[in-house]
Amino acid sequence: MRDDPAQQLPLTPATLHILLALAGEDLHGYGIMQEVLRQSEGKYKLGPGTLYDNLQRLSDQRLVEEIATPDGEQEARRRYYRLTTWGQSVLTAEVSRLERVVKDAKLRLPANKPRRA
Amino acid sequence: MRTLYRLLLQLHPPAFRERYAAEMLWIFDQTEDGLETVRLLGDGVVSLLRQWTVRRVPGDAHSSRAAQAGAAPMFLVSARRPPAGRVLFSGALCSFLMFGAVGSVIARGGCQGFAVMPHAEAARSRPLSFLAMAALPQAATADEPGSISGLVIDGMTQQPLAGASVLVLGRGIRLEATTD
Repeated sequence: MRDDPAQQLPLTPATLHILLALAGEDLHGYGIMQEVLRQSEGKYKLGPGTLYDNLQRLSDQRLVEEIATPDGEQEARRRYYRLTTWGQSVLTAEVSRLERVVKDAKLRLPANKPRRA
Repeated sequence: MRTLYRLLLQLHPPAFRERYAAEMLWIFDQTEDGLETVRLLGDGVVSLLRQWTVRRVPGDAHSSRAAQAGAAPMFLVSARRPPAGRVLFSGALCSFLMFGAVGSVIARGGCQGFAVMPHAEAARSRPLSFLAMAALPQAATADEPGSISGLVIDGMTQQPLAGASVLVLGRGIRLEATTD
């Protein structure tokens, strides 16, 4: 069952944003918060409590993993996280699901329907 | 504000605190905006409630470490340390008192119901309602010496039983011993 990414869907907004942030590069917690803020154009502020609660859960689910602190990192309290291969699969599946949702929404929304005379 | 936030972090479950509290405090230190620090305090309160309610798993530190090591945890450890001495003493005392109470009940009240009485007393005996083990020779000779000549079970005379005891099964069986 664990091999089927669809079993993990749908993702919560916080999970989706965290996985998306880590899809680009390995980041520490504060970096994830900043990246989520940037991705959402300042509309989604992830607090540390929410962030680390999700990171804990995602680590348990093996969607993300903690990695060694890179050389040159001056702040010892920072921990870095990476998206796992399994996490990439789940994120890809979620993006595909969202694409289907958007496609369906475009067909159904009144603004996109051809109006009858 | 920092002291309050630090206190909030200290109240989190040990596994979560050990893993994330230092970095959460560092993030708090990066925040200079007053309104933002208030928001972080609120986030800390929500996190505290969530960790102790939704995410609470006994021995979560052990299970997550096992998961990280790639091993499938077969059980959860509910306590990190062995029981304290006073707890063991309380448990031993409770066990002793319970054992004594049950033993006392069996010695006083319970045996009267089980005992097979001589014929005269057997007439007044109550129907046995549960599994009983009766020591026939001892009961028969307790008040009036003599050998057991027969048994009456539910009004029907049975053949004398050899051996020192008889096992009685079933509800409502009246066991009577007759003597010479």
